[in-house]
Amino acid sequence: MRLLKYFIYLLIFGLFTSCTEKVDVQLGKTAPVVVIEGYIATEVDSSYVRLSLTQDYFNPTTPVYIDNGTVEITDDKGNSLVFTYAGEGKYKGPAGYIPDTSTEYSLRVVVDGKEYTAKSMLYPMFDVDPILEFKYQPASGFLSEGYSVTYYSTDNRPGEIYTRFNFGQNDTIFDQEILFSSKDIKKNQRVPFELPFYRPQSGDSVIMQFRSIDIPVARYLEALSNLNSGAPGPFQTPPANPPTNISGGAVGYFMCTDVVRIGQKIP
Amino acid sequence: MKRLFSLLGFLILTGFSVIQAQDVTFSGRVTDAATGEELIGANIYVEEMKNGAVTNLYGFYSYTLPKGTYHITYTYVGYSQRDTVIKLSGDLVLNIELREEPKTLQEAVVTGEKSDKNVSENKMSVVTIDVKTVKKIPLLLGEADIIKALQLMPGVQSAGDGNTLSIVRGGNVDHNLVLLDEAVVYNPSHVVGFFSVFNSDAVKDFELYKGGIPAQYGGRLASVLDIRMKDGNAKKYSVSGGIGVLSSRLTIEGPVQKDKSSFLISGRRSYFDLFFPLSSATKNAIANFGDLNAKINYKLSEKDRLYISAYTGRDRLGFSGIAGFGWGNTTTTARWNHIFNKKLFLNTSVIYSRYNYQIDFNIAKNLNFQRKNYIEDISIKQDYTYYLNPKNTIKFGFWNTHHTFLPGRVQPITSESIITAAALPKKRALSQAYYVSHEWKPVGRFEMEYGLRLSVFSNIGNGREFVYQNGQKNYFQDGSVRAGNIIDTINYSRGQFYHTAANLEPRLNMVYRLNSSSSLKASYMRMAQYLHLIQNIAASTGQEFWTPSTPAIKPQISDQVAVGYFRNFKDNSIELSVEAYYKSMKNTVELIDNADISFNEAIESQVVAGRGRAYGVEFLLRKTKGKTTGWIAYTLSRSQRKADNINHNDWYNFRYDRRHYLTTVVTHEFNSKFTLAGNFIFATGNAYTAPVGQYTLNGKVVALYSDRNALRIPAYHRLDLSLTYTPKVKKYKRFQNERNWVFSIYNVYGRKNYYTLDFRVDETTGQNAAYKTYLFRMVPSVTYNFKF
Repeated sequence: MRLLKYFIYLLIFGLFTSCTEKVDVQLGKTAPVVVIEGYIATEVDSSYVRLSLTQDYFNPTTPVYIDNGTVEITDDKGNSLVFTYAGEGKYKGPAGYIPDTSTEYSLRVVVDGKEYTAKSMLYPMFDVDPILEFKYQPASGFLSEGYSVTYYSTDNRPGEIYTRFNFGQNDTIFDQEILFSSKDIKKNQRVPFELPFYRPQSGDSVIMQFRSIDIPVARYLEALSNLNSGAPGPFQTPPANPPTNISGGAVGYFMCTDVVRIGQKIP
Repeated sequence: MKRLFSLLGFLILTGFSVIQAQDVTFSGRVTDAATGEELIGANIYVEEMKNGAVTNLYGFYSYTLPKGTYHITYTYVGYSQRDTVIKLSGDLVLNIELREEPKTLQEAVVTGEKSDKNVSENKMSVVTIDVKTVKKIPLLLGEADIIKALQLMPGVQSAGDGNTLSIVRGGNVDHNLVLLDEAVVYNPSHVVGFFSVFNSDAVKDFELYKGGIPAQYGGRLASVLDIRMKDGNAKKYSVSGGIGVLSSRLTIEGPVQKDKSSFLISGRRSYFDLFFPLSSATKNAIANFGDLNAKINYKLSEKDRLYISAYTGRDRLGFSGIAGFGWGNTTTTARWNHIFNKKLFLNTSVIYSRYNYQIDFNIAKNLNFQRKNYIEDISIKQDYTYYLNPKNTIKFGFWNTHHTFLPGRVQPITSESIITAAALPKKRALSQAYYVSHEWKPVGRFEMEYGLRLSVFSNIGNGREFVYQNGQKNYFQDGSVRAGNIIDTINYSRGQFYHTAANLEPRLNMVYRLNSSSSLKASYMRMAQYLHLIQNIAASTGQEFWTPSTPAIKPQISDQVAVGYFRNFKDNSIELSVEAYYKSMKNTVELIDNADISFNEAIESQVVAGRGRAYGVEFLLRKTKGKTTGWIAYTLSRSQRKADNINHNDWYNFRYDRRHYLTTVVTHEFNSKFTLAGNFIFATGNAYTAPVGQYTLNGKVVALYSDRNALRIPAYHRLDLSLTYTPKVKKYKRFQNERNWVFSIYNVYGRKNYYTLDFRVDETTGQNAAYKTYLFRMVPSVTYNFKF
């Protein structure tokens, strides 16, 4: 269902973009706030927590990193790991670190004596067939001729779990991200999903990335996506800070995710 | 409240005591001699009594006075006066036809009602504009639009450039009750707000109440727009229409049985999508609207008249075969007027209203669905008017409506679609309203109308309500209000009234005429609103929907007081009014930050109850006679909101809060062929929420927001001009052919008014920047209107 919003924004965007121009605006200033980007993923060595500070809106967008923080990750069995600073605001776990699925992780960050905490559930991804289906399609509507790409999946997981889905071509993941709930898809049966608005050519390699997330993180990403939807003003949701799952006054998120990647070349 | 009832009873009894045994009544209807259309607000003046009556919404009047001989004058501005002498020895029915004055004699007028209405009538905060005047005002794309014309009056503001959604005295968009022949029109907009759904060719009369709303109306906090469709020409057939740049319209009307029944059919269709194939970017796009008005009336007897009217309209927007959304209103009203006797008039209406919206999404054979939502009403209402005597008129009645809400239903379009069918449960409610009001003219200079409305709103099963952890439908955590956790569900059986809310809504209007050219007026009203529009973007895209009050969403309540000074100059040709108002609102429905309203059954978890306050002063100076007519309107106002855990619990500006709002409308008739008209508008810019900081997440820049609606976009202003060329009327054997050309320019000096202000990264510099979106720069148009 989230797809729908993005499409409507896209649809109307065209009506307004030609009437847009850059303007000078005087904005207020604010005291720096700690930013936490916590990413615990099941791909080896991919987990990190990045710490930085907010800055005034019209300052250069180069982040101001925090290199003197304390970062600790604890699973629901009480096992703790301290992440160490690895440069550019990133704190990483020990080499070879892989978190467990079906586990709740807790984050504790201390910056200048102030503590920030968060929790996130690491759910397993649904099963995705490793073999993709390609079918030649003639040009129609906006789409040029090419191949439709369909993956098949089976979701047997209980409860509501969200998926961040990205796809790309020839080693490059596209910016567009599709966020959907397990509630939107038929459960316990093998279902196809054709990639929307996409027609690669013969010889192209198609890659896909699936990441499971819990509901609070999904709410955060959805709000972030609405803020940065690219929709013109009348179609934007009222601006507001996304609902962080971090306590203590920081902004950002703490996300635990199971990652599945597949890829295949079109013959 | 007990005191209020006692006072009401006392005042009514006081009025009854002046009935005299020898009084007789003359009554009847006042109609247009050429078309048979009933004239609303025609004036009946009895010379010997120095007083008179005014026709009601159905052209009916009644006046009681002692037996004797009287000189009666019937007037309606723009029509020739009729004088008659009657000898009253018993009750008398006197139906009068008035003839429209020849155009050469007719002075241009702003209103179609009595000339000193501004001062003498016991009405304030009411806006009326003659439909003929609306057609002369230069508007976007030359489309005559009653709502956009109303937005040029004080206290009524547009929700955006070219937008028909209105903000009345600081209220929300959904605080306006829009009625078309008594049927509620839930979305009065076409094309995401740029056109209203009302075809001016089918409209006879309209009136906007922004305060002092009579007791027979209710259900919204800010205003009532009461629009009456034409009945159709009962004398002869006629065809009229207009051909515009982007849309055209056609109206056919005539008698079914001469002087007994008539009909009207009026249609409109846009065709700007015909230009889409010219560009590869838009060749598959769909964007159009159409609407149809129809009405028939039948005179059953001298005492009974039947009217059936209907409206249907539809918007479509999207890309062919891939996706799109559409919405539309459908209404039907069957009305029966019955005159019990010379003093008691009854209107009974059965009304159907439906607003539905639909989204189609079909990008692949296995990825497609259709989503539908609607609100559907079936109403019955009765309005009695008892003309007790010239000093007392009693009105009473009821309006009961059964509402059905479908919050959302999703169905796959093809059997291969991976999207599962799902539906949010329907909601049902019964709203009841009972009212009584008394128009009292105790002494010559003073009049008052006071009334009481009892509104009762009940949620009806089958239905279900959620139970939240700790009784909190939402809670505050880590800087944000979040949806509460549902721990249980309570199901209610079919037909079960499981929750009822009721409110007493007192109303009061008073006028004290200082002299024949000036008066003081005051009003008070309490309004209750049980239906709420849930919308988290400014534009209408079908994502928004109406939801009822429930145990978790309380009715919105407002109290408004207003006082005003009214003065006419130069034989009522110049009118001045100054009104001040203060309105407080409670239980306003405020969305939480980052609200998730899409296909969410627990919608109460996404809103909090807020408070509102709006106050201001409105000035209106208008010239109603002569070759040059028009008005200057200025509003100085403020509107704010407050809600728990939003904006640090502080008051914040309502998005459409505008401190200054100035409009000027001037029409000059050079001669019978050429009329020049112009509008100028100046308004303080809208309030908006701006970022105060930034940070980077996953390589992307994210804005950090602070206070809600703390900054303002620059002021809005524009000038519009139009020239109407009316060729000399050609006389044919069977009919006269009237026609004119309207050439107009919207936003003459091409100001790039802010429609919105967005903040994002400039892709060329990689740095944050602000962008404004503007819509209409110098839009010329030409429209050809005809009638034969």
